[in-house]
Amino acid sequence: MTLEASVIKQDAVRNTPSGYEVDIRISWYRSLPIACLENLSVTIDGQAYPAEQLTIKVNNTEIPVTQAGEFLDEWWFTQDPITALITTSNAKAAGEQVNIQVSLATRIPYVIIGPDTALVQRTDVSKEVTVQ
Amino acid sequence: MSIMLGTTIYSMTNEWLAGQFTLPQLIDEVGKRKLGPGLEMIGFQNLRGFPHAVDKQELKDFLDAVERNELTLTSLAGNADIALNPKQWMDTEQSVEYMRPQIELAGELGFPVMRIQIGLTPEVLAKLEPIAAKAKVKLGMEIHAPEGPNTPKVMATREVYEKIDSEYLGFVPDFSSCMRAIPPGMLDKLTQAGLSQEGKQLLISLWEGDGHPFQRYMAFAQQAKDAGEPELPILQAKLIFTMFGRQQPEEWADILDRTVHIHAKFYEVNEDCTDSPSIDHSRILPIFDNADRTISMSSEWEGHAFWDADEVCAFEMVRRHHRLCERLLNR
Repeated sequence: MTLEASVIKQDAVRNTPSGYEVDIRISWYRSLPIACLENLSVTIDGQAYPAEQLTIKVNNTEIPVTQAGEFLDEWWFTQDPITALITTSNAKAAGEQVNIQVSLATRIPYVIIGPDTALVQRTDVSKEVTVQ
Repeated sequence: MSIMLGTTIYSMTNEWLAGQFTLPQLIDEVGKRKLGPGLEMIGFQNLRGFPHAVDKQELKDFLDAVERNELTLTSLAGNADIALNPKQWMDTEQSVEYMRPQIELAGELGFPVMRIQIGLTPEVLAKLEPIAAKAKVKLGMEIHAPEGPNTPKVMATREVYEKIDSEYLGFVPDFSSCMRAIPPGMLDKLTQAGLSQEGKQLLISLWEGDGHPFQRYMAFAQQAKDAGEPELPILQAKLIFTMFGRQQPEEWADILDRTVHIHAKFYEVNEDCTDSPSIDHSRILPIFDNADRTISMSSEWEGHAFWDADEVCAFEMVRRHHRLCERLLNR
């Protein structure tokens, strides 16, 4: 419900020479280590970019999403976005509208719901935004 | 003695996540609206770099804001994060070393209490006690739904506390453990998500029934599915069984001696500030107000679990909650 309200802001998507940058905000009430990012995928105007194709930029460090589990000391602060770097030759220009969908799964490392099992918070957000 | 009112900034989670305030601005707003004197916050929510890499200037700005608003620090919430590394969860030593800088920073800043979470093992608690005593920070294990003061997990901790018997090991009761009704706002959201009136009645009857919360949820999910209710509200209803507990308020008396701080969880207060439908404050507050010492209590609004910032103002909800508590405490 509302923890997801700020995940994609209206100015979240930027056109870059190599495609898009997408700012993604945390869907939890407190900061989490990047090692707790279990999955992230982005879809823009129907074109899906799964975790295997995504790199995120966190505090100026670039991290392939599939390797996030190794980053125990990089933190996703509650008021700072992580930025998904998307490579595409078909990116829309600044000022144009796009539909963006973000699917996010974060492990909540202190909510233990069973033997060797921590809660995984899943969030799906879809929004129409203007490319910056 | 008496309860000392206050606020946890966690109440303003929507406003915080939306980036509407910096930490000093948020504290100024709490001060301006007279929502103190107590002030609580969550280290991992409000401090970038918590616990060992927080910018010194940010800490100074925080303390300056607390001072100019004449607020009193009550509790800094910490987290155990034992599943931080997906390949190997923390062992006892790693857990202790993870908690140590959090406790030490709480002491440096002047918080008398650190909220800790259920699940820390007896071995970890025993090793944290001297760290807490040195920092002069009391560790308060939060008792939150679906747990209560006499559920097995909490009883295990009470036994450890009895053995160690230190003033630095205590509890933080959270009113979510003893709710009398599902918050109306939560039911409205499920209705908006497609739950029928019959589904709502089924949900209420199972929530009010006996048995383990998870089993009651599974019974609801199966019966609702069989009745053709949509999937989304069935999934969302799981929160109801984990976030809203059914313990009796009077049971808090069993841990009153070891209560170091209170989370006055609430979801709604009417405009007249006379009632909070889902939590019976008139039964709960006298138990703590009759203690032989002053206990700090944070108004903890958690309606942000189902309301957005543009629907409900957290500051106004906390103001109403303070008026409700003052009336019940005859102030």
